Order: sequence, then structure tokens, then C-alpha cells
Amino acid sequence: MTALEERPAAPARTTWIDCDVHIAMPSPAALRENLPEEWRERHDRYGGNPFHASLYPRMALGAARTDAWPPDGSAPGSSLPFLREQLLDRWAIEYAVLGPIVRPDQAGMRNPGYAAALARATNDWVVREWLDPDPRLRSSIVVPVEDTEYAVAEIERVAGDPRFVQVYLQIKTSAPLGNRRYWPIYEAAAAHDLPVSIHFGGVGGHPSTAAGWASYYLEDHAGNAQTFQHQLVSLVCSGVLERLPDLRIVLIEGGVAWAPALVWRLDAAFERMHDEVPHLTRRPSEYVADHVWFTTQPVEEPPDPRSLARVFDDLPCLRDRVMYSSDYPHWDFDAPDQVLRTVPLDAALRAKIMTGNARELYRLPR
Amino acid sequence: MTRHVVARVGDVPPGSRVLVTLDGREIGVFNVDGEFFAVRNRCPHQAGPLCEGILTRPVSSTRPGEYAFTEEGGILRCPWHQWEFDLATGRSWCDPDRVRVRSYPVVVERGGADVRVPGPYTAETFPVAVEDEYVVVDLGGRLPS
Amino acid sequence: MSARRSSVGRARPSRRGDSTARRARHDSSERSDIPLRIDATLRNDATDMTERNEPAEPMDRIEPVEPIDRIDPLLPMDRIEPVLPIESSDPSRSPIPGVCRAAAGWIQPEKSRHAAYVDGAFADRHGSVRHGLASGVDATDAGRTRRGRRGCGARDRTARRKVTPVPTPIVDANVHAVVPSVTALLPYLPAFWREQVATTAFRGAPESAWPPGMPMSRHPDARVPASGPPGSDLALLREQVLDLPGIESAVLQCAYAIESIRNPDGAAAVAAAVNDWLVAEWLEPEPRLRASMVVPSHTPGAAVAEIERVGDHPGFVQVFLPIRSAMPYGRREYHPLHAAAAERGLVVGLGYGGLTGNAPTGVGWPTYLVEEFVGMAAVAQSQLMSLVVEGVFDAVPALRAVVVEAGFTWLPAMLWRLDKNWKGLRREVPWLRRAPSEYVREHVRFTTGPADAPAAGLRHVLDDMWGAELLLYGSGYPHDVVADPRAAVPAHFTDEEATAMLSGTARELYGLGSPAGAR
Ligand code: FES
Repeated sequence: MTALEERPAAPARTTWIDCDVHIAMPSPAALRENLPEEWRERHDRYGGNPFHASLYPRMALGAARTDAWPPDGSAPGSSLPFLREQLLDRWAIEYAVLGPIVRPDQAGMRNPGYAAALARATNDWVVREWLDPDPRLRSSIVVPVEDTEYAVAEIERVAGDPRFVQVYLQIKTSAPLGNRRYWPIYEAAAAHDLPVSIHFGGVGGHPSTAAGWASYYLEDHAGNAQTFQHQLVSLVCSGVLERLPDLRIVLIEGGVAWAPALVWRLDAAFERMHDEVPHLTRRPSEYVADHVWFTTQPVEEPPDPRSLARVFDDLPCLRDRVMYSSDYPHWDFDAPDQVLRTVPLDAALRAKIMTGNARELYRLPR
Repeated sequence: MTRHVVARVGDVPPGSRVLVTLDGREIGVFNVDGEFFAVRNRCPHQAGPLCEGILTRPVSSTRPGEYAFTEEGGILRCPWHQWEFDLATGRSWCDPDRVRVRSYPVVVERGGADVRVPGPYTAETFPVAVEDEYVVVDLGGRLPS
Repeated sequence: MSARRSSVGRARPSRRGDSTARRARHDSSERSDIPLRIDATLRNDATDMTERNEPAEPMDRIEPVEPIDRIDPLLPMDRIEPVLPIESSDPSRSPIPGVCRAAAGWIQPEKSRHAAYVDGAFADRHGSVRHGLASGVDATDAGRTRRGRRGCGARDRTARRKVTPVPTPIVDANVHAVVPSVTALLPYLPAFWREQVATTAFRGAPESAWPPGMPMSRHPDARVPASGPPGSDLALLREQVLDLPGIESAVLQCAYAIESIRNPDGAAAVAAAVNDWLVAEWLEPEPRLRASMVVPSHTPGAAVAEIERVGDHPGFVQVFLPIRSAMPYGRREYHPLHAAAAERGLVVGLGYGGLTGNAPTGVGWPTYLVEEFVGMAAVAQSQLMSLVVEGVFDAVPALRAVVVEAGFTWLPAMLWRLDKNWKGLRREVPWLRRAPSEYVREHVRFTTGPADAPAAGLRHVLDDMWGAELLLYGSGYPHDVVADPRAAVPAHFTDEEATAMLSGTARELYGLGSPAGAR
């Protein structure tokens, strides 16, 4: 049975597992407060030597939904009661996997000690302010990705808390993620049975495309999908998926529909160039099928919704790999009950996307 | 009765809005340069609370690099995905023929024989005085298109 | 013809016995200030296969090249005139600047795009076929036995399409002309740059986005010339492409990495030399050929000058822009280039390649070439987004672009995302009048090779991207060798669609008539 044979139907379930929800510290002062004493002054004076990628005007303040600012005026995603009101309770979200906005990859890339301090402060804040008060929440381990030693240490430090369900990287890194310098992070994650998630955004110190800087946020935003493609190619060709058979990769906020075409191209190129990557013993598509998960938002919206359903026919592994995400509180938020409403997915597939695949990946209890 | 008094004219100055519930429907009433518009507070895209979005002006352009910020006309940007809607027509900018928000005719009337219905947006009675002007939304009406 | 007479403005030395002739005219007493050696690294250049096949000349016998002022008066000027018999019989190429005849009629009536899926039987009829606009050989052969069939996208891919003869002439919109070495360009370079070649290690663009040894650079069936790399020999191109039954014409791409030459003047000089080389050694001897001109793409002003210099030559139908560029081609710095191309009815070809020195991804340098090869599809996406979003097609409505050899199966997903974003971010780019996908549909076409999709997926992609409308058959020779171009037509195409893909769209786009000489 293909996805196409099903008619659009109301979702069989009314709950969702949301795999991409952002939280932020309410203010810059709060960030400072959360840093250990010894870093506060250096934080004030030097920051972390960011890569100064600057930003585009993003059409919405903080790239957030206009209605996502809590009543007290603090940052979107910084208030648990407001998160409950706008997301968790409103849609009966069974679990939400948090992605903290305070991130060492952006603020502290070039100063590893500072980046590590930020990561520790963020992860501790997440436990205190979010995971402890609300049992529906899970979170992602923030790590100083460009300093592998510190990153591994941070994974080791917090991985014992089962509410941390994955390691959190951003798609813009200073080298392609298959690069061996990152492998210890993957090894640590796999050793703790944690997926490695890679989220939209970040600052890697390179122009946004292989052809230089895009001019507009529209390109930059949609262009993240191309960076996801480059990173997936890198991960597959590097051999790290061969080396770590249990490693699970989650691509968050990169879109889904490009996956079949990329896998076809990878397989076709591999057929003629496999001797360059002799460490791969299987076709690229097989590594993707076994190791890679995708979250939906911002899911591609074809003019005919049936086109999106066919993506699952073109790359059948996606049936077990695509997980709903909202990206709350950002402007490109996909509402759980709306976003795939018109896409003719069979009921089983819809259930997998809305809850099943995430429950399995993150081993979330019912 | 499809005609509803929603506010005193003086209570909705230019650039402001009121959100009311009429016959169970949330409706935003906007004052754009003294002209009133009413649209449903439900975005035709993903059902976001459209009327909580930014009220602004149209931006047009005749060539790359030009941003002509028009000084008239009302554009409502949905708070979720920032789609733009022309308040005068309810039409979206990106797909004006197929994506529209339900909009309703609004008139300003002086209190009198026809305008005496209590404002349904509040449990309190809405005293309508003959000497005041009121914003009246007609739920049964259609905008001339 | 005479109207175009001056279009190639710079004098070009005759090919006839150039180096010996020059040596004979050499008067050493006048040039004591010019070093007398060609740099040893040049002589040993691994890519310089022509030179390597000759017996090594003792270094001290190599003469300096002549200054241009001593050589040019001796050149027969009439050799400059491009002689292309097709032009006079070609009614579709617009004589009016700014009017591209291909502009009309591109948007076809909406097809019943999804009719095929209603009965759900489509997959059974075609799902077992993989030929993906075939790469000539069954791409599934290699490695099939070694590796399992598990995994996404794995299909039973054994059956081949039965070829129904379609009485259609064929335009191969993508074949390569490879510059064998800088030596081949010497006759077309001005004296200063010849001297640079002779006296420094300057070798033009010594590297290629298609490294000669990379399997993707040469299909096993592509014959290697007696001298020079694959793709550098016209006789072999005739044999392996042009003389195939039904081939009417072919469009040359030259991926010579002008953009790797940092010196903008050197880049401009070499670009001019490559274009003159293309005219003299490919277009003139072979009327079935058209070509994409090269430009110093990193220096938009110089690129415009080069388009003005040779862009009116009837053999040039396209401007080749390698997709890995220093900045995206939609940027306003490039709008004059796009305008200059469109004015002449030239298509902009966004081609696989580009050696800018910048990383081929937005996150740095990948480890393996296969990553670069696959990633090039993502780079093409970035460029296409840039062209649309920056309003190039609004500023230059007559412009047409072709994505050359960077795939197309990625297009629908990219457009769905871009359209979705545009709906919310339109205010940032208010010059766009329509959804991004509509610009692509109207202005952009894609060459078919290299193949990647299985048949069922390919059909989904083609339905999502308006059927056959967007495709130009292109073999990519010598990267691929396609024995029967008609076998590259997707199984579900109607005859009409097959015709469009094999020649109709290319004829219209490139202003190709039916040349009398076509077989
Ligand atoms: S819900 Fe209003 S633009 Fe999406």
C-alpha cells in the first residue's frame, strides 16, 4: 500500500510529540547570572570571540512568532507557563524535545573555555528551569562542538540524566560534520545511546553557501536545506556511520523532501566513485536508511499535497524516520494539527510521524 | 441579526484595533487612517491568530533593491508565518485568489433607530447614545469584490 | 554574415605552424630582456599531454614567444570571420537585441499532472525501471553484486526501457570541449600573456573541476585521444556523439577554470583565448556545434566586455558560469552580465564546477571528491535561489538560464521550500511578482545528465516539475557516453514530450534551426 492510496483523514491521534521546541533565557542578564563566577567578567569584556557572521533582518523580531512574546515582555520561549499555554496544553503535546537557544556554537566558537562554560551553564539551567518542573519536557545536550574534548566531557557530565535525549549540534559548523575531528563526539553519543541531532542555523565561520554569502534572509533560510545536504553527504562519505553502527543522526529543521534526490545522487555517484571511499561497505542509501532521522518543520509545501506524500514512496525508509516538529516559538512554526492536514498520508504513517517514530527514537515511555 | 455594534468610533483611533467575538466568531476590527475594516481572527493558512499580527503598509517595488513603502492602505501580517493580507479585500498577497481571510463590511453609524444593539463582545450592556458614532460590523455582509 | 564580421574583435594568430613560424622570425638581438626559458614546471605539466608526447626539447633551445606587435601584422585578418553556415538558415535566432524568441510559449497549459496516479497502477507499470535519463550504460551494473539491495531508494532496477524509435532529431545540449593545456591557447593569447606563460609558471587554469582521473570525468567508454585529455579531440567527439544516428547538433561546454586565475587581466585574456580557440578549433570546423563562451566570472565587468566582444558570434549560444563562484550570480554586480547575455539571445549556463579557492560547501572543505561531486547539486540550488530571489528575471525578463550537468531531481523540493518561505518573507524581496517556482518554470531549464533517479522517483520528480518542459537532453560527453540518446527518454514520456526533451526545447532556447548539414 502506498501513501497515495489513502485519502486525507483526520489524525487518528490527538497528541503529538514535538521534536523541536526552543527555549531561551529571558534576558542577557539571566545568561550572565547562569555563568559561573569566573567567566562573568570575561563574558562582559570579551564574549567568546564569535565569528561575526552578522544576521539578516529576519522579518520578525527574534525570528519569533509575533504572538510568542510572553506577557512580561521576556524573550520568546523563556516562560514555561506561556509555553504551556501556547503549545503544550493547547495541542496536547505528549512530549516536547527542547533545543536551547543559548548556544556556545554561536556565542563562543573561538574560545573553547568560554564555550564549554556556556554549555554547562545552559544544560544546568535546562534541568533546573524546564526538565524538573514539567515532565513532558525532554532536552538536547548543548556542547561546545568545535572543541571536541570539552564537548565529550559535557556529554559525559550530563548523559546520566535520561531526560537529555540527544546531543545538540547546529548545521553550520567550521568543518563538514564528517570530519574526523568531530568523531569523538559521535563516539561519546553512541556510547551513551544518544542520537546526535543537527539543527538549522549556527555560525561556522564560512559564507552561507558554496558560492558566497546569500543576500537575503529568504535565501539564507531556505538555503539551510543545502547545508543539510552537504552535511549529510559528509557524514555518509566519512565512514563514521560505518564505524559506529549504533549512531543515530537527527536532522532538525532542514526539511525532508530533498532526501530522495540526494540519496539517488549519492548512490549514483558512489557506483562510479566507490573506490575513493573504500571504507564504505554499503551504498550510501543504506547508511541513510539505518542512521538518519528527519523532523518535519519547515516541511516543504508543494502546490499539490500529494507530491509530499510521494516523498515517502521515493524513500521508503522515511516512513520510520520522519518526526513532527513545530519549531515553536519561531515565525516558521508548523502547527501540529494543520501542517500535514491536507497531505494524503495513510493513518499508520501519520501516527508514526506525529508520535511513533519519535517515541521509538528517543525511547519515550507511553 | 447580523449587524453588530462593536465600539464607539472614538475608542478605536487610527492604527488601532479591537478584537471582538460575534456569534462565536473572533473578529478583529481595524482603523486604518479613519477607515474601518473587519476580518476573522483565523488565518486561512494554518489558523493562526491573524488579528494579533502587525498592522502595516504595503511594500512594493519596480526593480530589485527598491522598497516602496506605501503611505496608505492597510496590510495585516499574520503573527505566525508573516503572510500579508490586504485589509480592504481580505486577500493574501502571495495567493490573492485562493488564500483570503473572511472579511466583513464595516460602517460607522450614529446611534439611533437602527443602532441600538448592545455590543456582544462584552457581557456588559453597551449603551448606545444618539449623539455618538459607532463602528458596526455586518456579519452577513460581503465586501464588494 | 558581414554584420557579424567584427564581432570577434581581436586579431588571432594563424594556427598554421605557429611555433616554428615564430621561431623563424625570432630576432634575439631585439629581445635580450626577455628570459629565454619556458619554466620547467610547464614542460612537465601533467595535464599537458600534447607536450609530453613530443620528444623533450633541450631547455636552451626553447625560444621566447613573440611580442604581439611583431606578430599581428603578419596574420591574415580574414581568419577572424566566423564561418557558420547555419546562421543564415536559422530563423529563430533573433536579430533584434533584447528579443529572445525563445521567450514566447514557454509556459504550457497545465497538464493533467496527476492523472497517472489515480489508479495507483503506475508503480507497477514503471516502478521496476531505472534508467534515469540514462547515462548510456546501466548505472546499476557497477557494484550491484558486491553490495546488498537493502536501503532507501533500492528498487528492482534490472529492466531497461524498450526503445521506441521516435523520428526526432536530437540536440545534445551538453558536451565538453576540454582545453588540453595552456599550449593550445598560446596562439590565441596576447604577447604579454604568452610571455607570462613562457617565463613564469603561469599555466592558465592548471586544475579542473573535473580532475582528469576522476571516474566522473571520463566514462569508461569515452575514448582517450592520441594526445590530450578526453574531450579535447573533435574527431572523437564526432565519432562518439555527433555521428550518432539522429544527432543534429551539440552545445559545447568548456569548464576551463577561468575563475581560478586570480589576476583579473590574466583571467580576461585567457577567457578570450579560450573563446577564440573554441571558434577556431571547434565551431569553424564543425557546423553542427554551438558553444558556451567562457568569461572571467569573478570580474563581472570584464565578463561583460568579453560577452560584448564575442557574444554576437552565431556559434555562441550560451555564457558558461561555473556554479561555485565567489559570490552568488543573482547579486546586482552580475545584473549587467545577465543583461548583456540576454540582449544577444545568449542563455546563461549555470554549470557544474568552479574553482574559486573557496570551500565547495557552506561549512568548509569536504574530505572526498565524491562529496564535492554530489554536493554540486546543492550549490546549483543556491545559485538558482540567488537568481530568482535577487530579481534577476525581473530586471532582465528576456534572460533564460540552463543548469548544466548539476542534476534536476532536487528541484521540486527546493522550490516547495522556497515558495513556502517566500509567502512569509515576500516583503524582503518585493520586486518578486510571483512565487519563486514560477520564475524557474518560465526562465530555467536543465540538462538531463548525469542520471540518478530510479524510474518511479524520476516520474514523481518530472510530474512535480512540469513534465518534460524543463529538460534538455545532454549527454555530458566524455563524462558519460550515451550510445542511444533516445533510450534516455523517460519511459512514460509521450512522443511529444520526448521530442521536446531531445531537441525541441534546445532548438527554441538556443535558436537552433534545422541545419542543412545535419544527418
Ligand atoms: S497561519 Fe497565518 S500565515 Fe501561517
